[in-house]
Amino acid sequence: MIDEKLIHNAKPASKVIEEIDDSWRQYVENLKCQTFKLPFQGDYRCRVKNDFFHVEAYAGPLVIDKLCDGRDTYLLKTSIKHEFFTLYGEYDQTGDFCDFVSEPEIGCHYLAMSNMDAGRKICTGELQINNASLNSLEALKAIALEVVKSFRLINLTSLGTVILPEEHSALRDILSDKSKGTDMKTKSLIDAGLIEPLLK
Amino acid sequence: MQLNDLNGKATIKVAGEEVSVNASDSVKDTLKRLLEEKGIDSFTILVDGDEVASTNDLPETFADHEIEVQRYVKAG
Repeated sequence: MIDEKLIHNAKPASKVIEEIDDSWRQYVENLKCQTFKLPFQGDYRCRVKNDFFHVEAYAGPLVIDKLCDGRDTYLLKTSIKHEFFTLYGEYDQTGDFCDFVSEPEIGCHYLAMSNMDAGRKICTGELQINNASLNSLEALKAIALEVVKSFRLINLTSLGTVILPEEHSALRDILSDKSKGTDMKTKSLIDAGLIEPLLK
Repeated sequence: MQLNDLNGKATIKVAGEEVSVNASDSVKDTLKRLLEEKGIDSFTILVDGDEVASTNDLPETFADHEIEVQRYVKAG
């Protein structure tokens, strides 16, 4: 009875109030988009990029000096060295770990990545990462060191996008040649004097 | 490597496991065989604690050297 009376006496909502209401909702939504839950406490560098929260996990040199073709390990005759390499742990807005990303983008990306990931996320391959366990700075830094260590080796059997500096263009061009299979790439690299077997 | 003077054996470490080898055996051939047996295709070699950066760094035999092979985790 009371409800019927209320409905009967109700007036259409003011357009001004509706607009204010919409505006307020939009403001709250925007605010949510810019709010991140910190994955963990600690003294660390962080940044927000591409709607993700990045925690600096490794900052130091990067070395790529080996190659594996699924049978043997080879040494690069000229190691690729990058003085300033930063690896970030990427967390979403809820504070869950998603991936590792690097700056600068350098090295090799692998076929396990989707096109969406190509050229951005780091494929960690055989490294078993339990995302839920990366909930402390110590854990993140420890696994980041493993990632940097595994970066030293180019895995020829699963090669996708190759990003290497211009001074290593000969190596980059052979690695990037989609017309060559693994065996042909290994042979080309040996013939070009770019690699040698670790156990000759 | 702990060289056993009595029987000429040496102990090396391959992917965390201790393996007994003949101290006078060829490092290259023995490691090739061991790695094939264990199915290890990506690795690095430490000689006396230092990582081998060139094949020339590899000694001929195991005698008087501490040798360790560490497995590499592959990306991809």
